[in-house]
Amino acid sequence: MRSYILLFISIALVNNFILAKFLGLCPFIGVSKRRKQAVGMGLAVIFVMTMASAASWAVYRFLLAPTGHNIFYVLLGDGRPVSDFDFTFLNTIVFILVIAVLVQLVEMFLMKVIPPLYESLGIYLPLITTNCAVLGVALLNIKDFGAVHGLAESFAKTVLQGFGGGVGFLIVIFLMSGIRERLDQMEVPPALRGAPMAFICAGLMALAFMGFAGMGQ
Amino acid sequence: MIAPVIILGFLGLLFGVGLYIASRVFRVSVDTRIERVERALPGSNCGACGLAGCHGLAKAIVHGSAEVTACIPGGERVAHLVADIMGVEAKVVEKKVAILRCQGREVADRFIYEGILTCQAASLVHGGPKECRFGCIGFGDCARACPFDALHMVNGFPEVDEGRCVSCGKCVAACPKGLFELVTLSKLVHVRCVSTDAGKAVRKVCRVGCIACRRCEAVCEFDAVRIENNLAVFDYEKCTSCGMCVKECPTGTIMDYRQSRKDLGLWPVKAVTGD
Repeated sequence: MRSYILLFISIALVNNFILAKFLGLCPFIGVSKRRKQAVGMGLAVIFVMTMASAASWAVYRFLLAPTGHNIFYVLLGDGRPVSDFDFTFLNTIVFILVIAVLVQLVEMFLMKVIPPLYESLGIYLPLITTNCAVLGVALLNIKDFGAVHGLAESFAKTVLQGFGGGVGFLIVIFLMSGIRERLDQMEVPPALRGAPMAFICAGLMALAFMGFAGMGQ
Repeated sequence: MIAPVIILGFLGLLFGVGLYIASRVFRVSVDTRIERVERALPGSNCGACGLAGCHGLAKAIVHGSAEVTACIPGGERVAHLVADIMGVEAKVVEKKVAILRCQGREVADRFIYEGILTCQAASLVHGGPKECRFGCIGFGDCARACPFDALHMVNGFPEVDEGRCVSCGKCVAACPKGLFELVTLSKLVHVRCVSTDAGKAVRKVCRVGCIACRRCEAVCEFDAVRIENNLAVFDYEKCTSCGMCVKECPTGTIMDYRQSRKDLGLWPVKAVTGD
């Protein structure tokens, strides 16, 4: 149990995707202007990251990895070594495919069920497709837990890491949107108004998050 | 060699079918008028309506949050087309044009500027290289911003082609000196200077700048010109474009657009009918 809590804190705060790994910066800057939108985007990312983790884990475990569960090994394996069924070189392209499909699905779902959120996310929802944090979490999962022996444990940790990554994203984008809403009221020198000031704030936030470094794993 | 093809093909098929089913389950019926209105709009996505592109405006019109006349570049013609689709009557839209509030063509440079050749960048360096802090820098940000090819740089100075101008307001946003203003076409007389320097200082750097001599103020019968902060300012509500101040202005700062608009066939403004 302790290792699960540590894992969650580690991915959400210590190894935060935005401020420690510097992944997913496009939506971080693009959708952090208003708090409401930021929360919407954060929730969408949590959902997509969790789903993508689960889906990519399943694809990896049962299609790509050279393990006893590989479908091809089970069906065509008779007598041949398991290492013949190593398709891990397809990781990246298959994960991109999985994520793209998931985002499409989320988009359709939101359009039907929560139109106001769909409207406010606008172009950024399709952009989750190219959000490297999502691909990053999928690849990171494989690296961290791909080789864990127990199926249940491997799956649980993978999904938790995806969920935690999304939560970390939500926390940071929400903090950032609060800062930027305040910034709008401030008198910023014309040369720094808008994106430059946001970048400076993001840099300071990253410094602050570096304070977590060394905690846990 | 064959394995990746099989794996990706299998996944592609699976996802394709899955998405097809999902699109059936989550189908949202879209109002067909949105598409028709969007087709009637100019489609240049200029943003003059204040919404994100023509699609955004089409949606807003259909949902009732924008007027059918909201497309400024489209003017009367588009307003009528849209009104037809929406089944309402279009109200009168008065055409506007962009006026350049400077004619300091021959203002000398204060220093040699060697930075990026845009007005935006140049204006950050001590307010630009020109002797006049208020006037046109002349690097053509406005001409580049104009999506309708209505602004041209002629000898390093912008000229508005009023026949093409649709008052989208891109130049207003692009000019770091704020020299453009959108004014109704029926107003023919404009002050082409924004300098609030004292007359003497203006005279030193520019032959055609406003020196706040107050002669326009004195000659105006309609009380439509005022000197505020060393600058002649028009009250267009009162101005009748009679042209008395144009004759009186010693520097030629106040300009009459009557003849040029006549030549272009823009004036007299044709009466716009509402139906």
